[in-house]
Amino acid sequence: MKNIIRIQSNEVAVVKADNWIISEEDHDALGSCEILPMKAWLARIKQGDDVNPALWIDVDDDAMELQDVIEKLSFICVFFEDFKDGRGYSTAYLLRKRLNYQGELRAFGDVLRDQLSLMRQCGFDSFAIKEGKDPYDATKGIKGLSVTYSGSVSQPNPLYRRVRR
Amino acid sequence: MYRYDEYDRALVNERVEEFRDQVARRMNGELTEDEFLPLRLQNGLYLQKHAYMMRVAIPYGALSSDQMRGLAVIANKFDRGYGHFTTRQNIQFNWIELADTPDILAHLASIDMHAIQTSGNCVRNVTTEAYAGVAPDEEYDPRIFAEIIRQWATVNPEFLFLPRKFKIAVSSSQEDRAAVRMHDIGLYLYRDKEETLRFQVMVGGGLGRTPFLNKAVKDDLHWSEVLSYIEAVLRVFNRYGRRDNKYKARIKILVNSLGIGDFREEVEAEWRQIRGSFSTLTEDELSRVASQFLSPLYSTLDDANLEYGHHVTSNSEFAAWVSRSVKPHKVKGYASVAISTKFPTNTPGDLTAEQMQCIADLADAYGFRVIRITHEQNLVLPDIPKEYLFNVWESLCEVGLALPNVGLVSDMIVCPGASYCNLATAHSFPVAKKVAAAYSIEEQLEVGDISINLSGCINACAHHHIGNIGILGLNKSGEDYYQITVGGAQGKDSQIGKVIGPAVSEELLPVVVKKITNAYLANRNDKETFHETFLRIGLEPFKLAAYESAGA
Ligand code: HEM
Ligand code: SF4
Repeated sequence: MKNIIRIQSNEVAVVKADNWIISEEDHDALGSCEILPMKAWLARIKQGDDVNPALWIDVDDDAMELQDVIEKLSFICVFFEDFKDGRGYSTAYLLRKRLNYQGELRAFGDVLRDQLSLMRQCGFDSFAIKEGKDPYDATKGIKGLSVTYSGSVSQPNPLYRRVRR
Repeated sequence: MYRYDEYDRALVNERVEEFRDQVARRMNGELTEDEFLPLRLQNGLYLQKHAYMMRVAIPYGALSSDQMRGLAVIANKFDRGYGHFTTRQNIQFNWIELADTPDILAHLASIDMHAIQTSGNCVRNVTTEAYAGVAPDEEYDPRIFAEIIRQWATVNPEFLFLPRKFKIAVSSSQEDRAAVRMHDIGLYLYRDKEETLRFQVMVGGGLGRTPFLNKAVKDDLHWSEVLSYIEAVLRVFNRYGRRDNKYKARIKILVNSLGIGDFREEVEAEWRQIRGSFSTLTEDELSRVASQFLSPLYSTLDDANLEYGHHVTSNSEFAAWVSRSVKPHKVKGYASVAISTKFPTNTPGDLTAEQMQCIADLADAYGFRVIRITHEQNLVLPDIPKEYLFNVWESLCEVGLALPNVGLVSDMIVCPGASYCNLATAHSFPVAKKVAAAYSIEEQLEVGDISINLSGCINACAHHHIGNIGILGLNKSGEDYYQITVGGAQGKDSQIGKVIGPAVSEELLPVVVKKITNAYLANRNDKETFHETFLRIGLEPFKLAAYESAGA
């Protein structure tokens, strides 16, 4: 994948490209860096195959189907087909809060600078910025506003539990 | 009213700077229009027919006099000297330049105001009653929860790209003057037998192409759980709401396709996972916000005021205005004053900068420096001692705002229609004006309280479905036509009106509307309201009256 921004222990790093490859569908002789769609990955697991600890979630996949196998995963990518479709935010929430997923969580597809802080707050810690956009420029979108009222994945307490107003 | 603290202020200021940068990037081509669109919408900026329009939030319809003056400054400096108050406790400025918008937002921030989430597919401005805090029939001030919900929803990262817009309204009065039943989430706040505050939660209301009233999902939600419950509803909506068709994307469609039973189960299942945790409200937070809405320090006044009584008996114009505009107040000797922005002298919802100044001055001189905006597009001065009512009236006369028509035929709720709106299928202001002009004031008084709502297209911004008489502008081969519904109502007995028959031409509309009110007059018993008569006699007599005479 290309145009990567990763947040690790509060450090932001830009990686021009890493070795991961998103596979549209399952096929024979999978490479060691291929990421299968969630459904295909689940089918492989069911068969008892030894697959990469990585998958990608499509816009209308239900992340809760990963409930019983979440410990097998260390890299999950969530596809944003259109940045105006906000399902990926709830998907991230569910992975982090309901399934307690601890691995890397990457947004890819129509991923743009102006939404990165929202994605970060919902639990994403890595982003494959849309092709054609400058990932260095996009890092400016990670911080967001310094005040948030509601709680979120990255800051579970709402403002009224965090500070004395 | 709610005053910003350092956190609120930091948030709006940073948001202005964020948008300033986004506008600059749009203007230098770094952002495409598609990328910019939701950013500008979530900052209140629409592109209309002639120019950009900026929609500014007036949370729960309350404005300080300084804020009102600030709006007047914006109207003068950045617009053409006026603004339009809407049915959703917002004000819209119609003639805005894109390059000016960051400065407008900065000006708003300086008076503790913003345009955040006044548009876009997110949780919009939370609305409540214009008379909140002063109404005699209210159990608890609904603004306190409206503010708590507003804060929770503001830039809540998970819920900014919902399938469609999302509107929440709260009411705590017996009557419900906030049109709660047509909101995506409607909340009735009440006290149970133990005096504990609880909510009745209703989901899935909305007008537009397929109008629905919302349906009860939970009857006895403890006040401290209101945020987690809303979160559960929004998560279910965000995950399962339709995104393939804009007209089927509101939560009302999800609620009705699942059925209210299954929908409730989905929400409850989600809620069980999150309740009792981080979003539970604390007593501390409730009292902090409540302390911002304490009643002003009222004086001890006599209930009756001699001078006021004298003016009422000796000045018939003043008396006529009093009978429509002066509303009861929970404190002895005080009244609330409703100010009509309607025909014949005004355009519904529009106020000039001069009129805004005048109202701000009146709030300073006689009230507690606050003004309310109603969803009927009128204004309210909420705490005026009776002895000053005459002064208020005199000042309002000077700026053309002393119309004695609040609640009457000519107090119509009207959207801007083809005058400004891109989506309009017909004109609304000029036509509404003709309907109003078809009645003398005596005739209007004879008809009495009635709501007539006119929208310029199916989107129903003027709530035509819940008007006693609703009018919807359509286009039939290039000509404006108007479809009429009868029997709509808001409040606790909300009802969606029924279409009476084929749409009528612009020319016939005033005649037909009058035939409908005449049918009411001919059929009403005693003191029956229009809606009560409708409930008793049904649609048929109105239908007959409308068409037989109109020759339509
Ligand atoms: C002029 C620019 C405006 C545009 C482009 C616009 C657009 C729309 C659209 C597209 C809808 C339907 C949304 C849906 O059903 O999914 C809508 C609904 C609504 N608008 Fe507007 N509107 C405008 C101005 C106004 C004004 C001036 C008012 C108040 C007078 C208003 C109040 C409302 C209300 C209350 C609804 C909600 C109806 C419902 O719940 O379905 N809008 N608007
Ligand atoms: S009802 Fe239609 S014409 Fe009127 S403001 Fe709304 S979108 Fe525009």
